[in-house]
Amino acid sequence: MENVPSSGSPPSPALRRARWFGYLQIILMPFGAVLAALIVGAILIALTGVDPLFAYQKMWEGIAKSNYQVGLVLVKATPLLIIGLGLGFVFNSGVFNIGAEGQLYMGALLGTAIAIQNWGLPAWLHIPLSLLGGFVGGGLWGLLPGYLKARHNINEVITTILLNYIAIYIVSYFTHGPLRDNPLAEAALPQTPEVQASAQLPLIWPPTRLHAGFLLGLGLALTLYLVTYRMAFGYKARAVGSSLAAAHYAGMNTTLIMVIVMVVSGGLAGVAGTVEILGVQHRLRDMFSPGLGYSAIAIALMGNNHPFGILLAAMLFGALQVGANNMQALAGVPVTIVDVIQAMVIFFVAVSAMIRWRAPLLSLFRRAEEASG
Amino acid sequence: MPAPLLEMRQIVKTFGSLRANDHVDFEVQSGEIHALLGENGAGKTTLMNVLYGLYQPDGGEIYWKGEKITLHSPRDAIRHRIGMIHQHLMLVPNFTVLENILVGLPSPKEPFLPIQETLTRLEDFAAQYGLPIDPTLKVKQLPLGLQQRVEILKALFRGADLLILDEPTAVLSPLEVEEFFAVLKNLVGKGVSIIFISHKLDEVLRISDRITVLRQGKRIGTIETRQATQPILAEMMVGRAVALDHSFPKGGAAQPILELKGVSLTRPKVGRVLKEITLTLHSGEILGIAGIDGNGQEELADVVCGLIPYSAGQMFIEGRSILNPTPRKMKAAGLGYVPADRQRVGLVKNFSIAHNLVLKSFDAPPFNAYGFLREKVVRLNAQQIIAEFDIRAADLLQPVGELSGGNQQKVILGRELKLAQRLLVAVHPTRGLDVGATESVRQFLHAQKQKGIGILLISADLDELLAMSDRIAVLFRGEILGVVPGEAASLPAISRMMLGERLEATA
Repeated sequence: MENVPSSGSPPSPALRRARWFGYLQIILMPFGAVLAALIVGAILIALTGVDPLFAYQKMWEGIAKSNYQVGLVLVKATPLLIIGLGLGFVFNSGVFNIGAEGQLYMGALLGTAIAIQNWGLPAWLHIPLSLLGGFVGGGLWGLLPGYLKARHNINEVITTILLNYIAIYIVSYFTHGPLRDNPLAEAALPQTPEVQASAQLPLIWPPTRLHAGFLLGLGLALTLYLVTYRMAFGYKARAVGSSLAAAHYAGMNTTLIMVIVMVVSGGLAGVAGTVEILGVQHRLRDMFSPGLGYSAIAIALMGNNHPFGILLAAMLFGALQVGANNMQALAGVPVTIVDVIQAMVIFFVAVSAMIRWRAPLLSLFRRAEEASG
Repeated sequence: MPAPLLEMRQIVKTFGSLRANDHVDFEVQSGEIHALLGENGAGKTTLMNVLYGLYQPDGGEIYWKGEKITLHSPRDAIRHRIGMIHQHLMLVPNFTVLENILVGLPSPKEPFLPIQETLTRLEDFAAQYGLPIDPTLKVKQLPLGLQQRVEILKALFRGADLLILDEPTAVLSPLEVEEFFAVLKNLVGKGVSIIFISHKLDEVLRISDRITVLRQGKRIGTIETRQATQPILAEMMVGRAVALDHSFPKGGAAQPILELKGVSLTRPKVGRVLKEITLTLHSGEILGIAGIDGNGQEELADVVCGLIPYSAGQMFIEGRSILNPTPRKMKAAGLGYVPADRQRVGLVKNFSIAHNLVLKSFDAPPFNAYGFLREKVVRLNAQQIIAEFDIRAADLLQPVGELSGGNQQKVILGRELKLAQRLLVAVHPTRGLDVGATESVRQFLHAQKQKGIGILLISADLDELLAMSDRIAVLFRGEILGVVPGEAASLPAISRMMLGERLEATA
């Protein structure tokens, strides 16, 4: 560092350019990952005997042909966004919560249990109360592994995965038993009764299916941005994630911070589960989530754990899903191929997130600068 | 002059944008001790790793016994009878001395180990080179000086006409250094040539025949040791004249600031790490803590700073008892702490300089309002400290992990000296820093002392302790064996205590 200019002067052009390229890369790499997945996907589609260009055209139409389709994309993005926000928050603190799926189920269970009650509450009370129930349900499911990690250093990856199974089967029990709709009917499905009208999230862009949960997601993104990057708590949480030893040395209550971020992340997953019920499905069904809590891990990763990045990533995943459904329906691409493409996006995102380009770029620019004198 | 045993010509090695070796020439004559001198990061170790086959050079040639050779791996180097002893010893702690020597040794009676043969040869070697050792002891039971001896034996067993020693004295106590130098003289007498890597001028002057100085990857020159002096070498290393042996004025201690009474620390599985430590630190005093690494120094610092709760005893600050100290309580009591591990503990590497400077004060005014960080105040604070401590950085938002070691240490000092209203605990504050940064860190510490701050200075560098401290306490296996005045005259007593000899009359 001998040749580094002294403190007062502005950053060298090389450093500034490298930083700028660093930012650009954070933005571009996810797109590269999607592109790579689509290229490999095209080969697979061609193997099934369908013209990949035709298939992708149907996919694009599925995403953007009409307002209705756009609304659908945002509806799909909403739960992913809310879970992803919580996961980005917890990942920033270096705690690896794999339990969003279970937290989502527990949140949805408690939220729905409140939402189906005919208490005669007005919507402005019934909806927040149900969402609060969702937060508490998911939050408790995050508190347990968070406490075990912080207090007894038990690996949260293992505990959260195990708790996922427990949560899914608890919901299974309730939808088959105590909360089952019309249990005496012959062909009763394992699902709860419909949630009260007063607890259903209002549609905000008729005639599309877009509901108020998306606005909630946007508000949460802004809130988490402020907490993480502007508030003292976020500073602490990121310090814990970057260096536990340094945070301890600085006098931070590292165990409490880890527990709090786990509760928040679990709570948000629970809210996402409740939003999905109140806004879309209106009943809690056995096995209702297609792995939302796992997809959201990839979304947090893709969004670089940054709330706004997560917002973009969630919308991208929503678009992929809606587009893929259309591609399946209209181009005849098997659903398994669609699943493979989605999994490949996650794979490429995960890989590209591991590759760091910034340092080599910096040295490249420095050398160019030296060469030009 | 006869043809050199080893000749390295125009060696170039680049890492990213860093040119670690820039067309370096280097040669070793048969039977000499050739010192390779330079500051940290000057490229000494890189050059030797090239010679040992660990790095492939980007340019240049190596001639060994008159023939051009290419070294693809350490295996090639060993085949050519070049041995290297790394700064961090590469032994299996759970193996015995014999087993460690057997590791990597070809066996004439595969698949069995040549145990009996090796034992016999070991006796021969011990007698021939003056390296006695008990082959049945486990390496982890040996002091570092003997562990190093095992490494040397290992290299000799594989056959070595040239031994590369990377900072071999860094882990040794003064008495062990004496013994070690005798061994080196003996080895040279038996025809082994030695490359001695160091940044310690006095050692290089004592032991070597010739000295080659590297600076910023370039060879500055080679001189005969008998023509060299400390000022000449220092100027070659740093590139400008340096004030050496800068001793700071002593005295000026006043009332006690920190008192430890019978403080002990017991850790699970490890046992007693600190044994009934009783110490008093006065205001305006630097109390040095000497000892070979791993004798409880870092634990003592952590206990005083509240990072580890102690098991027994009492601690007082200005006469007031501190119960269950925590980092926050100690900060509130006016304590600053420069930890041993600056990268992992003292800093959050991917946070900016500005954010690292408020690591302990971000949650109180003026840096905090209603739970929000006041970015403007944080940056203003950073601007001031960067100017005051002459921190060299691209800008105040640069991640602290990108700074050089010296500048990282200045960031920590800039933060901790502000917090140190009454006392400062500094652990290895100049370890790994170059001469210039070391000097400025010592100046900062001394300025604090003159302001009446009490400083607990823990260091493995005896010269540093003697130059800075008013008194020096010696820690051995978690126990204070004695306290002596911080003067050069105390050196023999300190050396003996570092090896466990108890001093009867304490100062």
